[in-house]
Parts: sequence; C-alpha cells; structure tokens
Amino acid sequence: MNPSLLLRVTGISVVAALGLAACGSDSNGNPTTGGSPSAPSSCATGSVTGQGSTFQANIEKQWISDFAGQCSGANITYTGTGSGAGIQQFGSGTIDYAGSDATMKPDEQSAADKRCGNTALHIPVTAGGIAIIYNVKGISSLNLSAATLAGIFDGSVKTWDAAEIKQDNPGASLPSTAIKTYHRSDGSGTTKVFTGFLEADAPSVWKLGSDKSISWPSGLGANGSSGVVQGVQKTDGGITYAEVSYAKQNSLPTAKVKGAQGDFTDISSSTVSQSIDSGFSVTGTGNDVSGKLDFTKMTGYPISTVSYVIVCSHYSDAAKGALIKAFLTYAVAAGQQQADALGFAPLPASLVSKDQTAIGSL
Amino acid sequence: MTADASTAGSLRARSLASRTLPRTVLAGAAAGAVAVTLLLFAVTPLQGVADFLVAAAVLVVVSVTGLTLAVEGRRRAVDRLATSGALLALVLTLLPLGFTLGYTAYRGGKRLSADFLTHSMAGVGPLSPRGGIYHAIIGTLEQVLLASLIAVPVGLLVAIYVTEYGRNVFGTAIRFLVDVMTGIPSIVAGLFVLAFWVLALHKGFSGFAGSIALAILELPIVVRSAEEMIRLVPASLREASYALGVPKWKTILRIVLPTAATGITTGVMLAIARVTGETAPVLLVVGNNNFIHTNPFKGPQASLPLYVFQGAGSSSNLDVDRAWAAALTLILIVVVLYVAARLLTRRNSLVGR
Amino acid sequence: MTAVSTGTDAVPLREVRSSRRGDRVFSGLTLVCGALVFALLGAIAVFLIVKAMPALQHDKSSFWTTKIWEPDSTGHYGVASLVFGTVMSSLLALVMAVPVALGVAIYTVEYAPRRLGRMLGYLTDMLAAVPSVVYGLWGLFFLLPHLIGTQVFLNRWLGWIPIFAGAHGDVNTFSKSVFAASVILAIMILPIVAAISREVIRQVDPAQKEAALALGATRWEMLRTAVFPPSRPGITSAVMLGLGRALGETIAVALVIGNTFDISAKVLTPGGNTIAANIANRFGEAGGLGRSALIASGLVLFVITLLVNLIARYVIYRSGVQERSAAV
Repeated sequence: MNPSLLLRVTGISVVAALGLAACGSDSNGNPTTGGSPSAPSSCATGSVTGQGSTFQANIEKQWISDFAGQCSGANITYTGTGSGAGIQQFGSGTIDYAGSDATMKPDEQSAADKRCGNTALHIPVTAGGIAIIYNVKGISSLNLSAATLAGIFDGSVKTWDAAEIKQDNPGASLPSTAIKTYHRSDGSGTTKVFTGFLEADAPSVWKLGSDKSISWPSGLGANGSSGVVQGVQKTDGGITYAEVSYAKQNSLPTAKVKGAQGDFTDISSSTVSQSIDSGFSVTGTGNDVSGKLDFTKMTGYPISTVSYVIVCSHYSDAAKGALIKAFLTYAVAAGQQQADALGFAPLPASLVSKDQTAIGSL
Repeated sequence: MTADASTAGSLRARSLASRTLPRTVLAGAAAGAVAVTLLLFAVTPLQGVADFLVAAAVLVVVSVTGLTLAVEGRRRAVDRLATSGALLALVLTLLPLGFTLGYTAYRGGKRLSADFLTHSMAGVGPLSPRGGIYHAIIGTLEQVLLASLIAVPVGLLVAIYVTEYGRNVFGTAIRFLVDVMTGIPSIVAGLFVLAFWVLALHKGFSGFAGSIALAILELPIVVRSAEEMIRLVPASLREASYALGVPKWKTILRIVLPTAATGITTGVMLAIARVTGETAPVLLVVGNNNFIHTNPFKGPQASLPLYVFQGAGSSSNLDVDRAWAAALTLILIVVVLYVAARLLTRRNSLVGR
Repeated sequence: MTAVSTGTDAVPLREVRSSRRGDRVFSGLTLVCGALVFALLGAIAVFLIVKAMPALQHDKSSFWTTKIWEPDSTGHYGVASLVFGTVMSSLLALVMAVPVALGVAIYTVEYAPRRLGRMLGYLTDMLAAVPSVVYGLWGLFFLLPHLIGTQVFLNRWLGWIPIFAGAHGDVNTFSKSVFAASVILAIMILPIVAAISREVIRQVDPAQKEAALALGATRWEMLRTAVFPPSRPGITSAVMLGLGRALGETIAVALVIGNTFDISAKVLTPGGNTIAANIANRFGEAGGLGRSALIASGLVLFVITLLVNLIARYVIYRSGVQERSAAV
C-alpha cells in the first residue's frame, strides 16, 4: 500500500482524534424544573455510581442535576435497572450505592454487609405513589378498587367493560376492548409494593403473593418502569403500575384507587404524604431507617411507598464516602423541594431527621 | 403442444424461436395491472400504501406471466416468473435497508447537532432536553481501540503462524479453534468477562473489561481475513525472496505482509466496524457513566451502543430522541468504516475484481 | 543484507546465525500467539463450565424441561421455553430470509450487469454493517407498529395454520412477539446468506452454464440444471451460517420479543423469549445461582451454535468451494 497515503491517513486520524478529545464538555446548563434549588451545604468531588429502582430514577436524576450544577467535580451517575439489580450489584461490589423500593432480604443484607465490611443501611430518600396508568380509547377517567385491580392483574378480569369495573364506575360507558396488563419482568421494588398492596387490601382475590418478582399468570412483561409505561403507551387497552412521574412524562391518565380505607383517591403529593404519615413506620435499628408499609392503614392514596438508598455505614474509599454523604445530605433536605413538581411527595419531617442522623454517621 | 408428426413441425412448436412478446407489450401489461389496482383501491374499501404495493406487485406478476403463458408458451412463462421472483427478492432486500437507514436518518437527524456531539449526559435532569453523546463516543472509541490493540497484533501473528509455520496438526487445530471462536455468541463472551474479570477478580466495571470481551470477538475475524490475504500472496514472491537468501522472518515482515497489507487493513477495518456496534458485551461489563470518563481501566464508562439500548427502553420521548440521534451517529461511524474498507479493496492487487 | 557471492566466499557465519536466531524468535512468537488462542478458548470453556455446574446440579427441577426462570427466588428454572423460542424464531427467520437471499444472490450474479451487480453486492453487505442495537431500535419503533397489519392478515387468512392462530384481540395489537423477532432476524441474516450464496454461484463453471444455454434452455432452466446442483453444498452451508447467526443474536431480539416464559406455537401473539435475550435481561439482578443458571443457558446456546457452524464449515470444506470471508 502506498506509504505516503498511509502516512496521510494516519496523520488526519491523529489530528481528528486530538480535536475530538479536546472538544467535549460535561456542562449541560442549569437544572430546569421545580423552584430554584438552594445550594447544597457541602460539596465534594469524585466519581460515584448508583443503580437500582426505576421508581426513584426521575428524582435521582433531578437531584444529581442540581447537585452537579452547584458542585463541580461531583460525578454521580444513577441508572435505573430495577431494585433487584441494584441490590444485587451493590452486594457484588460493582456499584457504590443502590436505589430500592424494597428492603433487603436477609441473604441480600448479609451479602451487602460483607461487601461493605460493616452494616449496609437503608435510607429513605423520597416518597411516592404507584400510579395505575392506563391507555384505553374511550376512557378518560377511571375508578378502580383493590379487588378489581387484583382481578385485572391476575387475569380474571379480561375486558374493560367487565362487571367489576362497571361496579367501580357506575354510569360510565366502557368499551369492550381487551385488557392488556403490563407487569415488570425484572426484579422490581415497585412490584413488591404493588403486590403487597393487593395482598393487604384484597386478600380474598389476590393469591399470587408479594415479592420483587412473582409468577404472573397472564399479561406482558417489560423491563423497568420505562418499559411497562412504553408498552402501555403503544397498546390500546393497556394498563400497568409505575411511579406517577412516568405517566406525567407521557401524558397518560392515572386511575383513582380505593384501598381499605377511604374512597377512590387520586394520586397527588398530598394524598401520598397522607398515606406515608398513616401507613409507614420505621422498624430498622440503629442508623438503618428501613420500615414497613401497612396498606390497610393508609388514609390517602392507598398505594404509596418510600424509596430507599442503600449505602455502607462507612466507605473504605474516603472520597466516595464523602461524596455520597454530601449528596444524600442535599437530597433529604433541600432536594425534597423538587418532589412536588416531579410527582413525588416530600418525606415527613420525622423521617428526614432520622435520615440526617444516619447520613451524619457515614 | 400439438402432436405434429413431422420433425420440423414439432421442433418449431417446441422451439424458442416462436412468437415472442415485444417489451412494450409487457410494459403495457404491467401498467395495466397497476391501473387496475388503483381502480380497485379507489372503488373498494381496500386501503393503505403497503397493501396497494403488494396488490399491485401481485397483479403485475400475474398479468405478465399469464400473458407470456398465452403467447410464448410455458417454458418462457416459467422463466419470466423466475425473473419476477429475482426482482422481487431484490426489492425485498433493498427495502429494509432503505427503511432502516432512512428512518434512522429521519428520526436521528432531528436531534443530531454539534451540541449533541460535544456534550455528555452530565447533570441532565429528567425533563431536560439537553445532553449528548460525547461521553459515549469517547467510551466506545477507547474500548474499541484497546480491543483492537489486543486483537490485531495477536490476530496477525496467529494468522502468520497458521499460514507460514503451522503446516502440522497444531496449525490445523488452531484454525479449527479460530472457527470455533467465530461462533461464540457475543453475550457469552460478555458473560465470561463478567464472571471472570469483573466478579471473580473483583475488578468491577470498566472500559477495559469491555475491551477484553470485544477483543475475544474481534480476534477470530482478524485471524480469518488476515489468513486469507496472506494465502493470496503468490508463492513465487516468497520463493524469490528465499532464493536471494532472505531469512523467513524477514520475508514475512518485509515482503509478504506489505503485499497483503491492503487486504489485511480491509479485514481489520471490517472487524472494527463489527465490534463497534456490539452491545451485548458492553451491556454486561462496562456499566454506565453519564460523565466523561477517560480512564478505561478503572470505573464504569459510557458507550454508544449501550446509550442507544437504554434509550430504546425508555418511556420518555426525550430519551428516545437522543437514542435515535445516537443510533444515527453509530451507523455513520460503521458505514464510513465499511465504505472506506470497500474502497480500499479496489486498490488491492491481490484480490481479483 | 549482503549479496551472496558465488565462488569460494561463503555467507559470513555471523549472518547465518543471526538469521537463524531471528527465525527462531519470530516463529516462537507466532507459536506463542497460536497457543494463546488455545489457552484463551480453553480458559473460556473451562471457566464457563465450572461456573455453570452449580446451576446444572441443583436438582429442584429439571434444567431441560422447566419453563419458568426463578433461580434466585423459588429455585425453579429451566431452558425449555428459552430453547423453544430460540429455535422457533431462528427457523422462522430462515424461512423468510433464505428465499429472498437466494433470489438476490441469483439476481446479482446472473441477471444484473457487472457494475450493477457489484453495487448490489455492496448494498446487500451493508445490511450486515448495521449494528444490531439499531435494528432493535428500528424494529421497536418502526417495524412493530407497521407489522400489525401483516399480523392481522396472516391471522385472518392463514389462521388455520397453528403458528398463525390466535385470538383477534391478541393479534391486532402492538405485540412484541416471536414473529416480530423473526422478521428482524431475517433482515439480519439476509446479507450473510446472500453474500456466501453469491460467491458460491459465481464460482459455478461458466462452461456448464453456456452449454445449457447453447442447448436452448431459458435462463431459469439453465439455473435449474447447471447452477443449483453444484451450488447446493455451498448454499446449504450459507443457510447454516445464517442459522448460527440468528441463534446467537441478542440485543435486537431482546428489544422486540415478549419476554415471557411459555411454549406457544402462536407466534403472532405477544410473548416469547430466547436464551440470549434472557441473559441480557436478567444478568443485572442475578444472584449467585441466577448467574450460574444464565451461564449454563449460555453454554447451551454456545454448543448449539457451535454445532451448526461446524456443520456449515464441514459442508463447505467437503465441497471444495473457495470461501471469501471478510465481511461475514
């Protein structure tokens, strides 16, 4: 091959590569939602990765955007892969913190403790409701009781004009379209919370148990909250369960749900807060702020939950520990102001103070 | 055909020198068929562009073949049908290519811009339309470069061994194993690196882990194409060199390789084009990073195929638009490499045009 | 390098020694690299088998006949539905792709003028250059919505064939299904089958073709009698290589297949899963046993693909056809 041609091509490639290396930027402008975020009280630099719950993914991204905007050099990346994957990767040591809507099981806890060399802590960072998102031509508003939901998702209620749905929506004209349910095919904390709600509030109908991953007798599966909502977006007659910000993103309607208490409630920041106040109690010891959800006691929107961040009590890499501490300090305090705009609910003050104690000990 | 007793007559009846249809008549028949379809779609409730095209194609083929059958005879009609079939196959091949490239260009072009190419996803909120793929481009470039740095020299040396030194059982065994390696599904290569490098050796996610997996996939491609090119170097060149007293290793380095260089470069470029688009290994072992991360040996990195994959699964239109633009970028990189390799082949003296 | 002089002057010993040393070093180097291939493949095989063992030995339920996949929760998992989906989608893809690939190969070699033929060859190969994730993205957003009409058509007119059966309500909707995956796979394996067939057909002895034409055969008859018979081994091998590629395809399939664990012949209805897509979907949340099970399924896939590829290469080798690779 012509050596001078080779030389020329190599030269051009090298110059192009150098040019490419010099011209990229990490700055993507100021954050764009909610009120003006207040500056974080402390900054730290470094690089940290988190993975896990898609439920909290949208608010995590917002916090990271705000935090990085104010603290340069704070490189935090959170990827929504499902609570199950988050816990698993955290236990394997490939990520620095996990996001999860479900608390860890004993074997998961011991793996996490082993990875940390000390106790792994659950720190609730946000609260939110699991919206029942649907896309049916001819229905613009929908009421669904726990029993009906259980019937829909276990496959016994098959069409949108079934008797159970008619009972919840007297007088409404319902199309005879087939119901197409979308459930999470990956290990999902959202599934755990949703099935927990069905188990607690419709025990006579729901027999499939409650876990991050269950054996769905019917319906279609998709990965991540994004996946199920994407499916519903494209399918007439589709229905799924996911954090409400995903519905807002795509202008999809959400149903009013009736649980053990109260009436058909719409999902909003205040109804979720009401439920967390009435239905969530901390059961963790020491700095572990994990808790239990009692759906039968929730007085607001009945499918509400908190979402946790799972961290080590102490990180061997001091820089990472400092960055996580600074980020979480921001998230549970000033970061809560972002909740409303995105469809989440701010944490109750009692939880925030427990969180701050735990974070302070990191 | 008529049972004509005389030889000349029967020959004439069966011969191809009988009446043939002029091309204009065929064209007319085809046009007529299209017109009939148009009429059909205008009058009946049949709808849709795709349906129209299918119906028109069927009617054209039927009318042309039928006409040929009536006028020219069965053999010619079957031949016409075969021609139609081949043309149909051609159209069915080019359609997906056109639709894929075209649709990607259409949806990706809307979002592609200099801004998009020079910014990362750092600090991009869930409702923000900003952000870009710079970090992914850097990540992919580094991963592919490292993979090639491993795979190309080793691959060349293996190819040299197999062609020049390995005329024995060991050489045949290596050829066989390289064939086996071409068959490794990319996800299995990814699983191997995940289980071995990332987890068992506790190295964690990194760009380099991705490079290892990509190198495993790239190596056999490089070996096979280099081997083929080296084999094409005429024996007379080698023998002339030995006759002049040049030792074998110098012959290989100074004579054989430069002669095969164009072909080897083509092969390497095609191998690089292949692994640039590999998502499965990267998905498993490189992790994700929204910031520009230039150290491929430590810490998760972004990569272009992974970016597209994640965007594809997102319900947010912002993510999807970005994914399309990233897909367009990926296609452009691969197509440029591919076209360059093809152009290079034309300058290759070893390969008959 | 000094010229070797004739007559009494011998080549200096120093030089002969250095060239022998150079040869030894260089050949040693290439041998090491060759051995490296051995070692690498051996390492991969051994490591994967060792890691797959726990899952294969865990005997809560048979690995080969269980349909569901729950290694980390209930301990029941098996590749039955995965293998079924993999084989089904690949075979359907073959059925769709092979006639078209053969057709375009024949057109390129026999019907098209030389320059057009070369251009068509490049274009067909370009289909192979598109990365699989882009096919998946395109499939999800462009193809799947447009496939609904075809699904309904097949279901209505050919629904008596078991694979096209299904309730209208299940078929006339956006569905990630085995059918969708097969269509995408067909597009992806088309260029491989076409490229190799092209080479094979090109190498048919022109004398045979001209003899057929001289005897008065139409082009089709010439193809039928002079081109297809000698090309059969090569084309068979091309088809098998395409099959091998379809079996191992991961990302495009993961994006357009339904991700359910059932064995159903109704390919038009949402559902289906393949070994590769399952690995891509599950690896993140897989614990110790889960990962082991995924590796075990990966090994199954590898063995199947390996067998198919080996048969293909053997057929080509036996037929003596020269194979031009590079693009494939």
